Amino acid sequence: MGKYIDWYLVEVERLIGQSTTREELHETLREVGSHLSSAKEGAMAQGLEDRNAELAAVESFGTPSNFVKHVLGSRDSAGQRATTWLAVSSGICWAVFVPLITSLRTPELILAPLLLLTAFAISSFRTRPLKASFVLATMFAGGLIQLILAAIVFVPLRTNYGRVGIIERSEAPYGSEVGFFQSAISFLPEHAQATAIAALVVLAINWLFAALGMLPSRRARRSLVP
Amino acid sequence: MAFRSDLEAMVLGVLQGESLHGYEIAKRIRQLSKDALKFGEGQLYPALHALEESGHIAAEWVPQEGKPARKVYSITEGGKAELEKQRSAWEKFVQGVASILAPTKAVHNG
Repeated sequence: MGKYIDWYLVEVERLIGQSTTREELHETLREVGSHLSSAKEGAMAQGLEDRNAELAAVESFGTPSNFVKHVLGSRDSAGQRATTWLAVSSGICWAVFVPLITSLRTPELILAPLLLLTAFAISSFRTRPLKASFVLATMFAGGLIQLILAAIVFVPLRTNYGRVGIIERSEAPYGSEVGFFQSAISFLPEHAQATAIAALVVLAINWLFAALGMLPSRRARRSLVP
Repeated sequence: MAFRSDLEAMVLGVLQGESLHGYEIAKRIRQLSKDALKFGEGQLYPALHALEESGHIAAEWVPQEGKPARKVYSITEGGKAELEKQRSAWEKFVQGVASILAPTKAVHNG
């Protein structure tokens, strides 16, 4: 490949940056490189000399920024649809189930791990393309966190009460488990406190994973263009 | 309007007869439309990826001697069904527009 095609690929790589996975970036660069080489060959077959053929190929492909805009735009629309769908369903969960279950006198922290997966998925979809393997990995990671949180919440409940599930609010072990947060938000009404505690847990872990998901790996930082 | 006047229908159209790589698809669209449909060739790839994700086309990397490998696209059964849908929508669209744009005979009263 000539220097204009190389420049084009470097530009595409720079503009796409961390907005896609390393595999997808590699696939995109490979495909663009192959297209530009074919276009250059086509232009040379029509009588253009090497340098002009390469310029014609690059020109017919459109500017790197336009290309990247189209590529990322098409992914965003799929990602945005999923994010919107998840955000709406998650919102309904928060609005309906948290107050409902709280009024049934279930310790609301038990609900937090269940809501975590949805919230985690929302943050993950924001910057990642919708790949089945990635969704599965996300689900697995979400499930693992659920298990850990469930253990943290369930074990003291089982120790204190010998059972889990619906228990009387007066028996709920707020003091030992979320005493710090409870005292910080004690001025709020009871249902709002429950929601705030669950929201805090979800938000913290959500942010953590959103940050982790956006961190470039060492391998990804290396240029893919030879 | 049911017909999607976007690149995806054009891509399915040119792939119905043979498997082609990206550059050839762009070239074929230009040739078949007699240069009426011009677009930045880079715009083709989001359309190709969307079609691949929806299962309307399948892609395969084909190695070439002494040259970069090419990703060759071919239409799937689902793609053929989608193309048929697009074709019938397009025919309806053309008929609809034609009946509006057709020269009307002057109506004389009395």
